[in-house]
Amino acid sequence: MASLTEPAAFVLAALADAPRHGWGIAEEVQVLSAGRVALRVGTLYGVLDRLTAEGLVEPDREELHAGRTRRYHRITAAGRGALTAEAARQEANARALRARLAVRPA
Amino acid sequence: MSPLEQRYRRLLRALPEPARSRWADEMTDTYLTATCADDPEFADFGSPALVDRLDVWRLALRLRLGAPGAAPRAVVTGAAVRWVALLGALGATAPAAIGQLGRLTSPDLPWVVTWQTPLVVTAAVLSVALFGCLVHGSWVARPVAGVLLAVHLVLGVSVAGPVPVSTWVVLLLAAVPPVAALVSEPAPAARPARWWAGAVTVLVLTGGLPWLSLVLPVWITGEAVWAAVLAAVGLRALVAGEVVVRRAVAVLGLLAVVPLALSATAGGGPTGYVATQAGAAAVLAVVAGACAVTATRDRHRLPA
Repeated sequence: MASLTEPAAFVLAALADAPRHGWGIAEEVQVLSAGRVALRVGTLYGVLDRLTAEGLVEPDREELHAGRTRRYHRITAAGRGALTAEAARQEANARALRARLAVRPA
Repeated sequence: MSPLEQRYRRLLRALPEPARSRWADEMTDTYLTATCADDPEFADFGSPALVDRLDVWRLALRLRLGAPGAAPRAVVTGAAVRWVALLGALGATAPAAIGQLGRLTSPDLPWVVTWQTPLVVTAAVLSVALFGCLVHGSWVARPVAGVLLAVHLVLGVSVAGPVPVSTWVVLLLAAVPPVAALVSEPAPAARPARWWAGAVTVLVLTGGLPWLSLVLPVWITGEAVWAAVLAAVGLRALVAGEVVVRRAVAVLGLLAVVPLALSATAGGGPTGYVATQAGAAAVLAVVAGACAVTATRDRHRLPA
């Protein structure tokens, strides 16, 4: 499987514990990344559109909020698999980098 | 509906279907939640920020060029734009390489050096680099395409005075591959080895065929060689029924016909020059025209 982009990985991670609506995802991503990844709304929905098309995210429920429908999204089993694979990939990278740092220059 | 909501809805009309009906309501809600959380009065006088506009336009462009989830018609458009970038960049490599190889191997020739010369050399190097980046799907393709486009623009604008129309066409031809590279998502070509083989073949033909004028009453230019190559690619796509390649050949071919036809009608030149340019223009016009007509017809059969 191709590796996930950084925004896509954070969107999946934001949905891992509970279904969220668009703004909820954007806020959660900001918290998760300690403020480093601030998704613009267009970017967020570009990512959501792609993840939905790839079956990693699916619609959850709709709620009425201030006269407008607010849709919640949830992660699918395939989405959890993709996020697990991405976390493993990043862990392997981090291990390799740390191993190099442990070697003192001769 | 608040004035701000109306403005966001108008902005989101830029999105193509089916994404617009799928996401526009939700995106509006998200925008309003984000912008009015601290300041409810913003709904009455606020307006979408420039960064939000750019962000939505970028998403609209990506969806029109066949991002995942886009309609089949958009997927074909996106693939055709990628082909325009690749094939156009391939066409630019041969003249760029031959020009600079000539400069390097025959330094004793009276090369005219102006302030534009460094830019011409830069454009040549970047043209070859762009082709390589596109073939291998490197993210560097976009920055290279951006700089190349800027260099072409400076070179074009610096051609001072009332320039002949063909200069603008040549510039447009030069600008099309980098623009196509800028808007398409980086992805490696299906068969990189074949693209490199194609580039070497075109380089050898462009460098070698003009020597035929020593033995035959023809005068073959690099433009004519490229027209023949485009026509051959187009013919193959017509026979094989490849709609993506036909669209790319239609765009690049119809553009390349113009300078050929103009140089043929201008007359003059060595023996066989007019005949070769006119012949190349005619063949390419027929093939590219057929590609354009059949590709448009086939595209309309795809779901929008």
